[in-house]
Amino acid sequence: MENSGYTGELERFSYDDKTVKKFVLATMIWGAVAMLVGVIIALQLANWRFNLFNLPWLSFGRLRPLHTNAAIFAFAGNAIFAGVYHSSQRLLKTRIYSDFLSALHFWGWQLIIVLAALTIPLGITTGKEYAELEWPIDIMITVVWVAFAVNFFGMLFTRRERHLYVALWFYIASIVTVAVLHIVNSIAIPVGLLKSYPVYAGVQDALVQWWYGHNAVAFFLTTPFLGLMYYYLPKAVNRPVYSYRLSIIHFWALVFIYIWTGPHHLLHSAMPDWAQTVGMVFSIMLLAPSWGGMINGLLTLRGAWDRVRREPILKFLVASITFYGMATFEGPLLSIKSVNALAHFTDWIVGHVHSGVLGWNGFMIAAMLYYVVPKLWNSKLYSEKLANAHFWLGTAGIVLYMTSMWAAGVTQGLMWRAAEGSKLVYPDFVETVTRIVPLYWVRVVAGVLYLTGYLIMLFNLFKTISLGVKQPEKVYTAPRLMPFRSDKKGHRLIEGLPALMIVLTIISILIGSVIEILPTLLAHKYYVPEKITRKPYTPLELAGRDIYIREGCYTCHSQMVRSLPEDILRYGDRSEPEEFIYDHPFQWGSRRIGPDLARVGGKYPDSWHYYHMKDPRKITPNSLMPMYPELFTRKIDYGVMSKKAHVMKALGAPYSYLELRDAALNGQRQAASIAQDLKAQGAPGDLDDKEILALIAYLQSLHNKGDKS
Amino acid sequence: MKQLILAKYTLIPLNCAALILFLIIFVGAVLWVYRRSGRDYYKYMENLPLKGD
Repeated sequence: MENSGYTGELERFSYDDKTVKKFVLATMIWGAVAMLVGVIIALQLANWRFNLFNLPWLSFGRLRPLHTNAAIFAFAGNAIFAGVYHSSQRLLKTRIYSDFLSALHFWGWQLIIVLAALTIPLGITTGKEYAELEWPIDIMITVVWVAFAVNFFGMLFTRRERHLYVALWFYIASIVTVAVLHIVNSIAIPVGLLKSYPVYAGVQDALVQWWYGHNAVAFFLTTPFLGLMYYYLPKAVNRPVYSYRLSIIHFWALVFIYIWTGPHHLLHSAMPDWAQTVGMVFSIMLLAPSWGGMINGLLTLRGAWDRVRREPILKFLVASITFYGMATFEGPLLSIKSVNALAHFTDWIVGHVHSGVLGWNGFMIAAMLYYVVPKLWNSKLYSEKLANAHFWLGTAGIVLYMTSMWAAGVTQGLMWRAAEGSKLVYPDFVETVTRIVPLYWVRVVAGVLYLTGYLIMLFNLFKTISLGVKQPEKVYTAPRLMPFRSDKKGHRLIEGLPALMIVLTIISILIGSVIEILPTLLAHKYYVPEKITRKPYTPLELAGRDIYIREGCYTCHSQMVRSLPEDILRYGDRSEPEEFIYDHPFQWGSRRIGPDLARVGGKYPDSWHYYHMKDPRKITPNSLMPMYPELFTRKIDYGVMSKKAHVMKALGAPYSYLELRDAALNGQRQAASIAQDLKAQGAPGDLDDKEILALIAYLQSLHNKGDKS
Repeated sequence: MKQLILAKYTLIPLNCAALILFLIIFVGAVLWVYRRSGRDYYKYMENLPLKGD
């Protein structure tokens, strides 16, 4: 078996571990940044004063997307690249395909991260979760991802090992699917260099966004890490994976099913029922392949469990896989409509996500780093005691995080739905927030514990690196591959032909994508015409909407009255798809730290919003909302209104010629009118061109854009 | 009709049919992967990561 397909002619080659080292170091550094920002925003939710100095770029709404982007794309992303390059070279017995592409990949990705770290706090954002980066950076991501893909597939086609080990299949699926997700979700029309509107609106945008969003979890935080598990776990235990056959089932079932599950983020919303049901059913089915993978991982340790007690790497691996099992049990559970009705928009989801990212991803990365750093730098781990301390601090942090957020989520969810007859028991939303603030402090402690463990790991690894002994590049030999023999059958044939493997993987992920997305993209054509009574946003409202997006209001406020009695009782009529046809992007949100805003327009006078933005505690004592002083000093950009209106017109908003021509003038008129009203209500009189007017115009427009009045 | 199907209609029979179809494919794949032949091949594959450094 071993010699089949080889010429017998030996070739000499070496591995490019310099690139791997660079990605390892980047992982270590960006991980600390992501976790530090996480602790800061946890503090901001525990006490609003941690929105330091009321600086806009340090407010929760801007730092929260920075945290998620840093954790996913900087920390996990660099770890994936390090692991993929390190393991693939060894599994394929070949060097990374191109030194130039490796450099482009590494420096390009770091540049993207730096640009993200600059633009997101500055409020330059698309307002789409986990896809906040604006279009020029999106293009850079595409270029760098293509460089990565070519570099990886180049290795496949120059390999000296006939068959592709299961870890490589997971890498292939990740690379092709992330490319598809990123491109489809990022299609937008630019208004300028730093602003664009997505081509999708409302329900369309919601489905495409969560198809992307959930599959970012699937194909960025799951499949590459399963590949890493299938490589580093056998290496660390020094025994083969429990069942290679199970890994085949695991791979194909997971890749096929995962892509369908996005709509479980939109249950009870204005999304068509069939899409919600499909999302829920596939999410539940996903339990089977997920647990197949977890069982395959844990059983690989059969006969070696005693080593888990002694070896920190195995501790991290076992805990990581266990957290994967817990998160993939909880995910399907949360996707059941009745459970989701309680959990959605609460901290239960936040706890679920962090059990995955801190437990599964964070610990898998730690295991990988503890394994590769001594090998790459030709050293010995500086301190096993410190690694053990990292493990226990990290584990305590995760457990504390999960339990506090479960308690917070269930508490808040139950308070929202508590009713006596048709009367809410807790009609004042802020009551449901202040009740869980103590749990937010517990989360801060949890975050500090996890971060402390991580910093200990950094110290340990940097000491390990400093003890390394330089050695010349190792040279390996392996026989060259003969052209592929076509007498292979079944999966052996697929694994021998990477191009076929890639095509089949693409087909697997496209089936679910097309079936879910295509009807939704067409659905706008078939809305009930009588219900489309809403008008597009006025230029000032549109400017206000962009401020709403810039400040990250969607990170705390939803705009979706679900079809649940408690939502209707609290906020008004359920949201209908027709209400969102001019919403580029949709702003349904994913968490209610503040109340839903879908029907907030007209509920309060303009002055209420004015004083609320200036100091939320003046209006709502105990509110956690940051203050927004810059809205009272920054001027509205009337000059760009016409351009924005033209882009919206191109996207389907029925503006007339006059409305397009006079966009700026109409914006000024509406702003002057609001300023006059505010003055009459006692506000200062120098507001004519301040951003607060645009935001008020937008918020007041929300109640009847779907003409529910 | 199109309006109902694409915007609102709950396609329960279609969902059930799809579920049954996927289940059959899944069971078939499991039986195929776990067939007796190919034992040597699987042995070789599962040991791949253990070779080399």
